[in-house]
This record gives sequence, structure tokens and C-alpha cells, in this order.
Amino acid sequence: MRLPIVAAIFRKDVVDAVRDSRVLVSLLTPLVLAILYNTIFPEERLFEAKIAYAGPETSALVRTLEQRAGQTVDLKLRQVSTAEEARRLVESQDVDAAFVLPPDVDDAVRSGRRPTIALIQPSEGSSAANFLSASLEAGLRTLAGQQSIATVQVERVQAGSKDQGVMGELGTRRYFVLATVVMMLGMIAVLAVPIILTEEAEKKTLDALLLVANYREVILGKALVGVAYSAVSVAIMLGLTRLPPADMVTFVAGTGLLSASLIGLGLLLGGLFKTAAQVYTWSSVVLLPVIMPAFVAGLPVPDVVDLALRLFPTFQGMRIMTNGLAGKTLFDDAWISYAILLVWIAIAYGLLAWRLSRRES
Amino acid sequence: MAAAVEVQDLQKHYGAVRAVDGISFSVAEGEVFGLLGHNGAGKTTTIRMLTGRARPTAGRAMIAGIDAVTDRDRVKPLINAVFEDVNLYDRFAGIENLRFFATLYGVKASRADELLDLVGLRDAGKRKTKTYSSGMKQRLMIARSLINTPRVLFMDEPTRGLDPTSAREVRALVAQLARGGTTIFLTTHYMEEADELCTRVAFLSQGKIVALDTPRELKLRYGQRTAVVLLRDRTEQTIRLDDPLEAARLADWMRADQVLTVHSQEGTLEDVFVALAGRSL
Repeated sequence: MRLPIVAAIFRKDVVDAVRDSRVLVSLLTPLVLAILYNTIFPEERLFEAKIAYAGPETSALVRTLEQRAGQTVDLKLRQVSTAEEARRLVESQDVDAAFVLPPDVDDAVRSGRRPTIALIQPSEGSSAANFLSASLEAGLRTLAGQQSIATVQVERVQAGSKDQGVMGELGTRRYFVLATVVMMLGMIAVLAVPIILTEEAEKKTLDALLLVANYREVILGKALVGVAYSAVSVAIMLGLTRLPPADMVTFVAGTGLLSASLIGLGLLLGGLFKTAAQVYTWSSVVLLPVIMPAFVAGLPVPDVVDLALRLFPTFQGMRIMTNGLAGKTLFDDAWISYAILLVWIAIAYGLLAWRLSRRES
Repeated sequence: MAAAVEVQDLQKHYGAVRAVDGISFSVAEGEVFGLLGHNGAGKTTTIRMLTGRARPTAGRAMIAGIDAVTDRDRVKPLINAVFEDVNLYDRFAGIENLRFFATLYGVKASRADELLDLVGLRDAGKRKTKTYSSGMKQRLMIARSLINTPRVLFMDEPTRGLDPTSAREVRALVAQLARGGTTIFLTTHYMEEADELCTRVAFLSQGKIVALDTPRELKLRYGQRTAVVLLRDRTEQTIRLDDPLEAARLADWMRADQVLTVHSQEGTLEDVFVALAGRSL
């Protein structure tokens, strides 16, 4: 295996694929869906709070505000120089609310001097103003060293560990985004990659390529194109929908293994067809049964159907990726999912190696 | 010094079909060797085996002394090919096609520019190849085949489908390469092309070599030894040169000052092909 040759084929195919409108469609469709999800599932968007303040940037109250925002509130904090300026921003609706801190606010609170903190909000109020008010109050208590008058004990129970109801646990938007990631991996592997391979044979450029490269180098170069497009597309998809995986390692492992198994199938598929047009036609038919199990994972289905679907790589990939995205075990027995994906990879690439050895003879 | 191409009892069977049925020949360094034959005679299959794209059923194929079957990776840098069908990356510009293969062969990108100059495509180098004419595509394929400066260049029907002007340009390029010392292994349907370019030709029929020699020897062997004599009375007479009685008739006409012109009717390679194909089929 000569890696410079593999790299040259990879670079050529990356450029060539985006010049091919058919491949480009398969890459762009899921991204369009991501934008669509952002529109049709607005209830799960991050709550955005635009807040201005006048006062010391180093105040513990400002830090408290940022900490409370965490990942649930998209806090856009803006420091201004005067209270007047903060008021104007609220009036002009450039911010949702504003607050004004005295210069020595932290020391004043700690020493019990009861400083005045002005909260400026629109007359009709707003969620951002409520968030600000609650956060300032909590921050002031902490700063003053006050204990809560009661302890609220939060008990976290393992809910949603069964397959049923995972959509409720994960949230509709996350669930559909994840299913679309699987669809995206499917389209790249079963549509884009086979087109790249079949077109090489159809246009007989493969003959010229094989004068210098061998089949394995050609196949590896094309598989890497699929891997690269999958990685970039998934990253863009999660970026557009603002859904970073809580457990990145698990999510990447699931995505990588699923992508590898599907690309193996796609390369096998590419060898079955003589023209890219045939691939374009028939891959759409193949795509449906390939990705459908992913959409069913976690939904209530009869046991026999569930058992059958467990054999599909997309079903198992979806389970691992769900755990990765949620950052908790929504699906048990992850090792079975890993094992099944590895078996699929072994079968797909084993068959591919067998086909290549036959082709070389 | 090892022959550029050495083939011994080479065979390729597809089930019961013997596409190539035990052929043997040798091509010297710098030679232009033509492999001629009808469709399905086994020409392309032979090239596929010699270029490592098909594994022979039996026999040996050596390129510059290296086994082309068991040691393919060592043979690959020594050879290149111009294919029967146009096989360029048509969404790439001409120069991009050449640079891609320059990268694959590990040669400098500047080699691509040199070759565009050589085949007269410098001005069209930045155009996508799908906008090229057939002749331009063929010249670009020849340029691509030279990217690694091959010792042996396989050319499979390099002028097929080209208009006469483009075909002449391609033949001129082949002749130029041959003068430069490149060993050329040529298959073609065009007998006049083989006659013009090849130092030796082999006729392949049903997977077997049925004749192998220089074009002149083959024409002499299989062509008709006749001459057309134009007499003063404006009649044409065809005489056989190997017939003493007809030679005597020519001598009589000459003594009587009846002969205006004599044109020898040397056979063509096409005559040879028809004669051999007629016997073999």
C-alpha cells in the first residue's frame, strides 16, 4: 500500500465529487434538512438573553450570571459605560434587559452595606429580565455568604433507559437531527461513494489509474473521501443545529463505525453497477431500507421487528450515537451495538477484498 | 540486454473461451511493434495482461526483464498506455489531468506543462477536457501516457475514430516518440498505419499469432507479385511476375516498344490481413 498514491486519489476525488452535481446533492440535502429542523422545532432552541450592564467587569455577579446561563441560555452579555447607555439599549430593544452595578458592588455586599443594583427592563417584562432578576438574587446571596432557607434535594433517576420513549428523553429535535445524521451518512456511503467509484469504471479512467495504482489503493482513496465528507457533514450538521454531543468519544466512535460499515457497503454496491446513472437510480431504493432502522430505534415496535432491526448497522449506530449525544445511557448493552457494527465492517470489507482479488485475476 | 517485451506461451481463458491462446514474441528496445487482428482477436486482452490489468491463465510476460505478472509494482513505473477509448477526467482541465498523474507517478508538476507543449495543447490546458475535440483528447491521452517517461508505451487503437487530420497528427507524434527511442507496442485496425509506423507486426487471429515479421516481408510473402503494364494502344495488361511465360510477354512488348509504363502491384498489409483472416477463420 503506497500512501502517497492513496492521498493523491483522495485529493482528486474530493475535488471531483463536489464538481459532480449528483454527489453535491447528496452532500447538501441533509444540511438543508438541518436548517429546516431549526425552523420547525423552535421550542427546543436555546433561550437567548441579550443583557447589557454598566459596572465592573470583574464582579462576581457578572460571573454568576454566566455560570447560571450554562448551556441552557444563550447569554449575550454586553458591557456599557453608563446607566443612561444601558437604558437606551433597553428602550431601543437592542437588549432584553440591563443592570447597573456600583463600582465597589462586591465589597459592599460582603460588608453588608446594602448597595443598590438597578435592573432595567421593558415595561411588559421578558423572560430574559426574569432570568436576570433570579440570577442576580442568587448571586447576591452567594456573595453575602447566606445559606438557603431550605435545601432542595434533586434526585436524578435513570429514566428512559429502555428503548421505548427515547424520543421523549432525547427531545424531538435532537432525535430527528440524529436520524438525519444517519441519513446523511447513508447518502454519502450508499450514493456519493458508489457514484465516485462507478464513474471511474464507467469512464474507463480506472484503466489509467490502475496502470500506476492497484485496486486496494484506489478503493482506500475512495473510502477516505466518504469518511472525510461524513466527518465534515456531521460537524456542520451539529454546528448548524447547535447540538454538541455531551459524550464526544462515544458519539465519534458510533459515527465512525457506522460510517465505516456503510462505506464498505457502498463500495460493494459501486462494484455491482456499470454506470453512475444506475447507481443514482438504484441507490435511492437501497437507501431506504438501510437508513429506516435508525428512525425506528427507540420507538415502540413489536419484539420480532425490534429483534430483526437489531441486525442493521444503522439501528446499532443510532443507539451508540444517541448515548453519545445525550451523554448518558439511553440504550443499554452498548457492547452489542459495537460488536454488530464491527461484524458488519468485517463482512463488508471481507467481501470487498474477495471481489478485488477476483477482479485482479 | 533484456528485450523490452518478452512473451512466452501467454494464455488467457474466460471459461471455455480462449481469448489469448499461447502466444510468444519478443519486442526489442526502441522497436515499434504492431499487433494486428480483427475484433475479438485478443489484442486488447494481450495488452491488459502486459500492463498488469489482467492475470494470465498461463505463460510468462516480461517487461524489461521483470515479470509483469508476479512483479507488477516494479513494472508499473516502466510502462504506460494510450487506451482505445477516451478516458480523461472530463470535469478537470487538461493540465489538471496531467498534474494528477504526475502526482501519482511522483514526477514534477512541470512535466505536465512540458507535455502540453509537446502535444500542442498549451493554450487549451486550462480548459475542461469535456470541451476538447476528439483529436485534442487523443493528444492529451498521449501526453498523459508520457508523464512517467515510459520505456514501453502501449497504444491501443490510438487513431480510432479520429478525422484524417487528427489521425495524421497522432501518427506524427508516435513516429516522434519512436525516433526518441521509446519502445511502442501498437494495436490498430488501420493497416496503412501499421505499415507506416511499425518495424514489425504480428497478426493475431482467434487468440493465436498467425504471422509475425516486418511489414515488407509480410507483404512480399502474402501480397500478389504482379505488375500493370500500359501499352501504346492504351490498354492495360496485368502480368504475374512469378510466371516465366508472362515475363516473356513483357519482354516481347518491350522489344516492340509497346510499353508506356509499368507499375508493380506490391501487396498491402490489408491484403495480408485478408489472406490470413480468410485462412484462419
